[in-house]
Amino acid sequence: MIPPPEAHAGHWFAGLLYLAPVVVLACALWVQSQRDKRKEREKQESAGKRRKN
Amino acid sequence: MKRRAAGAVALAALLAPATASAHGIVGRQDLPIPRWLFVWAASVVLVVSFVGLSMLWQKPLLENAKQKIVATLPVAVEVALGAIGVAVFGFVVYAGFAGSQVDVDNIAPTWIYVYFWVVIPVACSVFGDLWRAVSPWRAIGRAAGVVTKRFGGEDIAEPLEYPVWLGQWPAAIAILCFTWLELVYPNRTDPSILATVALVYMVIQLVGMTVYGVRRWTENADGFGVLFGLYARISPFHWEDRKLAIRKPLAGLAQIKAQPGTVALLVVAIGSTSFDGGSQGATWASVAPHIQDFFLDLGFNQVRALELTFTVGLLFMIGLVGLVFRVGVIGMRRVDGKRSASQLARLFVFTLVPISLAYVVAHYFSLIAYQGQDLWRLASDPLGDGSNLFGTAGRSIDYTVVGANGIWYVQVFALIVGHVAGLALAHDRALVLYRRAEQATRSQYWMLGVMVAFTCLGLWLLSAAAQ
Repeated sequence: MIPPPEAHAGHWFAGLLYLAPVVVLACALWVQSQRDKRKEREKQESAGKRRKN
Repeated sequence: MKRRAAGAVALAALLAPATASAHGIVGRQDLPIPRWLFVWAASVVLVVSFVGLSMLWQKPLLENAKQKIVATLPVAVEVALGAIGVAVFGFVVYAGFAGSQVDVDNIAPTWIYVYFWVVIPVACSVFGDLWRAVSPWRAIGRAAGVVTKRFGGEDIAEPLEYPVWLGQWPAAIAILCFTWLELVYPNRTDPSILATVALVYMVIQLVGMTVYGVRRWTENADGFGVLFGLYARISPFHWEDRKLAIRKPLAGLAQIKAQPGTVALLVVAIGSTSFDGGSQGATWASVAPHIQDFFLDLGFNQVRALELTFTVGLLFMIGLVGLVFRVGVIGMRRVDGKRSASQLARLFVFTLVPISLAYVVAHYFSLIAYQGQDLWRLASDPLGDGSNLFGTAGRSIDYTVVGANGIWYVQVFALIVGHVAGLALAHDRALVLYRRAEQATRSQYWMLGVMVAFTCLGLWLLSAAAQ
């Protein structure tokens, strides 16, 4: 008899350990890209203010 | 129904040939840390490399790298290499038809799956495009061209213009067909079938070269020629028109002008190698019977259901690799939005070449180390008729030449080096495309994600196959 996929939960769970670095990195890169965008916005705003003054 | 599927799994085990599955024989690993920790460590190495590249690599170094011609080969050497290629091809085809039809007793399966498919591409990545010199169809095509020019007079029609839209799609399809044969077809190591396939491929190449010209056809539509040529661009040695030039390693890749189909070709190469590893793991073993059941329920017999199951697995893995690369490219597009995703995919596709090679080395290292030794025995008795031409027919494979741990370390090392090379190439190209180094680094966050994803996938597949 062939067990259903859920009977192999151990394999799937072990697989998650291999996927974890991708998830961690994706989160870190998302946070970093948000920071970069904010910095860029602030830079543009301060440049705009300087031009007005 | 379940019993039918179980029967199909057993059938698959019976049909699985000794040659193709030999790289699964790696013995028991006794590693100091769990395998998943290697994946974490490899990811850290990639992140550190990425930081190092953005801090220390501020100008493009590969894009316009110069090369220096160091030697010129006489015409006789070129002719001799072509003749050797044709002779070896002819002999392998002859062995496939005339020799024993037991795969392990015939030189054809080992030659095609181990030497032609694995050793030659790896050798090309080290020594330059050796395959171009020994390619039998290219040699015949060129010889035919010379003879026709000399004796044909002025009535011979010029070759047709190769369609731009077709690009390297024929090469991608050829590699997909070959990997289907290697990984899906039940009689994949049948010597006479392999010989027939080799002849059919040769005929297609000769017809293509006749219609479109040797150079344009081999550079676009000869699957093996194109793929091995891409690997050869990793090498510091560059062979062109009998001249040997030396350049920076990887610099040849930065000069690739991607054609339609180049992305598909590399995605097929990586995806098929991934499926080869993945199909030996527990996850696939737990999923495959359910897919088989589905096809059995549709009325297919066990062999067809098995073929369709493995075809689905192969296409799924190719799709997954394509998706990961596409996500990276779409992410890059968000940095300035000036180029379309397809344009960026072509501009960065060369970063997949070292990854593809790394996958080949990692997945097939044990095949080369073990099955590669069998050439000594098969050279003495290539047809399996009991001859002993060089006195080595009694040689057996020494499985102690490298241990299971050694294989694992080589696999991890190959994957890390391949992905760091991919990162370096992507970084160099980004410095050319984006005006500010800061913007270039930001665009490469996504490429870093792609590289880490491919590294984790590769190591997961290898560790699953080793369990």
